[in-house]
This record gives sequence, structure tokens and C-alpha cells, in this order.
Amino acid sequence: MVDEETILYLSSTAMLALLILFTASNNGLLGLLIIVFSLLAIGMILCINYVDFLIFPAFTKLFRIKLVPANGYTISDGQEAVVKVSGGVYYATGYLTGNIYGYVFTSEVPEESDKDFSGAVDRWERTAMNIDFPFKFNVMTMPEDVQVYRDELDGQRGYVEFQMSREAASTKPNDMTMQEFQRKLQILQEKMDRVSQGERPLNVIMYIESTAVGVSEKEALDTLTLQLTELQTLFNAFDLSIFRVTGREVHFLHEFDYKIPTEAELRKTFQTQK
Amino acid sequence: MAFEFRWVLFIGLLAASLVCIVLAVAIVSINSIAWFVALIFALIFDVLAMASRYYTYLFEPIRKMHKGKLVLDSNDPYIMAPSGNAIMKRDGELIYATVFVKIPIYRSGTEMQDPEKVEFAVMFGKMLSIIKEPFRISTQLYVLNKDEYLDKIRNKLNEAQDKYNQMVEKSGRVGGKETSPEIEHMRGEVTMWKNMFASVGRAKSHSMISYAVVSAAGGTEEEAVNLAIAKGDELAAGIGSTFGIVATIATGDEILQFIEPDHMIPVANLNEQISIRSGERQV
Repeated sequence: MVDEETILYLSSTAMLALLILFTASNNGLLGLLIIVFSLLAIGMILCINYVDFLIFPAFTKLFRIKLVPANGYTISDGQEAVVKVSGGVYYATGYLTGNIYGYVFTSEVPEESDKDFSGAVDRWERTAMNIDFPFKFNVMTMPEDVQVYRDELDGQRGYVEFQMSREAASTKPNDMTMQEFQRKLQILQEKMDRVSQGERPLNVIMYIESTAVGVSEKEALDTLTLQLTELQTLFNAFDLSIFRVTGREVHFLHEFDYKIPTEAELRKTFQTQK
Repeated sequence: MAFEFRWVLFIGLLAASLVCIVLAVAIVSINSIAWFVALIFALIFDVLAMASRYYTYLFEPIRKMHKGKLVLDSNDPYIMAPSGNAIMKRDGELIYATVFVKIPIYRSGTEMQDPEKVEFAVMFGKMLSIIKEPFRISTQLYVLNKDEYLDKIRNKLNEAQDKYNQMVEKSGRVGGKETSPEIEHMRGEVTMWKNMFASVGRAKSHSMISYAVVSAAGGTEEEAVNLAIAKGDELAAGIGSTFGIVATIATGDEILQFIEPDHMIPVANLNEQISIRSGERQV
């Protein structure tokens, strides 16, 4: 799903790059070079928008740039960890994304939710028991306005119903498509029922962090990688994909330790799970 | 403020790119090298305009970059409030205060039936929507300061041992067999502390704690701290009533344990932690 801001940024910058590309045509070798650079710029624009977590660390690693988010802390040039030196010992902190309760919040199979709920408690305990190094499991929550959420669900239901009626009115309605629409409607109804029962809609960001120690920065970072890989393996028991956070988000997640941002700031930086 | 600056920067860079294009078109027939340079600059400004979406916060520090270090903030990450129950951070005109609410839940899934587990998970879900503002719930596994813990057990052991000796002396049976149930009880307590002392020395020294974090902004330090504490109290009351526990606002060293890596892994246990991980790496 592409939001309005992404459309604005992508369209305006890509249009300018295309304008440059067309300006350069019929200008010999230099024109050809400009065409090549314009195409590179368009590629760069798309990369910044979609895979900036690869571009930014590659850039800082290439030029060996370390960020200093606060006095006494540095973000390694690979943009994968925040390092603190205290008493000659290096403490490296890294982050993983983690959405443990994803299947609960978006329960598509209501009759299985009880099993999921009780299973989550057991799985959490089993996972935590197998960890022998410091880690934090963080749930950042932003309760949403009930009426706004309800209106949004109403809108979505109306759209799905419209798609359904159009499919039904077609000469050969596809059974698979109709079933898919029915399923979508059921999920939306389920969500509306939960709101009606008094449950407040939430936007949630979940992440896991771990801290490793070492007598050198490299040792601390290597140990951190080991710890995060272990966490990734252990938390995979929750049947969810967990990724290591690199790039600009490392700085923002580190900031969360000292200040909980406003809803607007959170929405600007992170995608949330409803 | 930062949001507005982002848009100003974006429009400014787009405008700069457009100016370069116009300039290039104007001089194309006069100087082809200048035309080429103008279009290259137009492309650079264009890519920077896109980068400004995510990296506005780097544009100012990058000008002052020195020896590969990009200083985003040269101040300490936080200041401890004089009352010791909040940390503060300045961001532009505003001061942000953050409080930490301890959640002492000691229930285990092993002692719950399935309906209780469901109820617990539902209560956790409810806890996430206690207040309207964004807040964070964290569960942290940290390295226990074993030296401190062993000292406490050693003191308890010494106290119990003294008490036992006094009781035995009083009854006039030093070295003899105990007769009274009190002496028997005391001897049991001494054995318990001895066993605990031995087992803690051998066991992995980790502990787990859950806490909630909430922030508030204010024009002055006092205002921010008071607002944050009010939110913290609201959060503590909500969590307390949901789980039937007494949630309290953390103070001093307790806060440091949540935010400082060197308090999460105390110096006393560094060797243990480093050797565990090094051992695993060798394997």
C-alpha cells in the first residue's frame, strides 16, 4: 500500500529526473552520460524509498562514518548497533523486529484464538527460559480513536461489498474470488464485533533488543550478532519472521529508551501493526 | 518543527534542481561543459530531495562532521530528575520527562490452567490500551549483580547461624543433640541459607522484570516531570487494577537498570557474561 506522502516524494523527484533525461537527448556523448546518470538517479530514488536500510549502512560503511546519537554512545559504521564504552568495556546494543501477537490481533480464525492465547503464554516462557544473556522485549503501543477506526472499517466493508456485488453481477462470477471476498468480510466483521465489545483498537510496534559485552568493539559486535541470531531462532517458535534492524531505525529505537515519541513522530518513522 | 523543516528542505532542493535544469537549457548552445555540470547538479539536488524524506536530521550535523564522526547530539542522552523518579531530555524548546512503572508479575504459565492462560493473555491485551497516549511495555532479562545478592544471602546465613548458636548455648547443649522444636527450626533455616548460598554461586545469575514507560512534554523541567508522573500514576493504577498487583514508579538505580547497558550487565558479572558468550563462540 503506497501512502500519499510516498506518492508525492516519488512522483516529484522521478519527474524531475525524467525531465533531465529528456533535456539531455540529442546532445552527443555528454548527453548520453546525462541519460545514464539520470537512470542511475531514478534507481537511487527508488532504492532510497524502498531499501534505504541497505543503502544508508552501505554508505556509512564505505566512508567509515560513525554516528554519535548522544555523549558516550556511537552507532557503528554498519548502522547495526549502538555502542557504549564504560570502564574500558564495550557494550553493544542491537535490535530485531518482532510481532509476537500478530496472529492474535489479526485473528482470522476466531475459533482458534483461545488456543493461540494460551499457547502464547507457554511459548513465551519456554523461549525466555532458554535465553542466558540480557535482552528486552518491547511493545510500543498507541491506542487509536475508536470512532475513527470504526469509520475506517465501515469504509473497508463498503468497498468489499461493492467489489462482491460487481463480481456477482458479472457474466461468470468466480467462486474463488467470491470466497475471498466473503473471508475479507468475515475478518472485518470480526474486528467490528471486537470494537463493539469494548476492545480499543491499537497501533503496535514490537521489537526485541539485546546487549552484548566485549573488550573491543569488534568483540562486542560479534557477540551481539551471535545473541541476536539466537534470539531470532528462539522467537521463530512464534511462527513469525523476525529481522535485524539496521540503518536509521537503530538511532530512533535507541532514542525510545529515553523518550517515548508522540504518535505523529512514531507514524512518520515506523509502520505500525493494527 | 522538524516536520516543517523537512518540507522546507524538500521543496528547497526540488527548486534548486529545477533552477539547475533551467540554467542548463539556457546555456546549452553556449557551453556544453557548463550544461553538463548544471544537469549533474540538478540530479544531485533531485536525489537529495528524495533523501530528505528520511534523513533530514543528518543534513545539519553532516556539515560539522569531523574525522568520520557525525555528531547528532553532544549532550548526555538524559538527565536524572532531582526527585530521582524520572529522566529528562531536552528536544528543541521542550523538555521531555520519562517515568518507568515497575510491573511485578510473578505468575508462571506452569501453574495456570488453560482458561487462566487465556485470561492472562486477554489481560495483557487490555493493559496495552490503558491510557490514550503512546507508551511502552518492556520485559527485560538482565544480569543480576551476584556479588550484591550473595552478600545479602551471606548476611542472612550469618544472622541465622548466630541465632542458632545463641539458642543452643542458652539451652546449655553446645555440641549436643537438639531437643526443642525452635532449635530444630533454626537449624533448618541455617541449612536452607547454606544451600541457597551454594546454589546461587553455581547458578546463572539472571533476573527478569517487566515495566512500562511513558513520557510527557513540558516547557519547564518541573512541568514535564509532574505531567510524566501523573501519567505514570495513571498507568500504574490501570496496570495494578488489571492484574491485581501493586505497580510502582521506579526510582534512581532501578531506572538506570532499564536504560544503561552497564547497569544491565553489572561490572561484577562481566567476566561471567563474557566467558559464557566466548565459550559459545568457540563451540
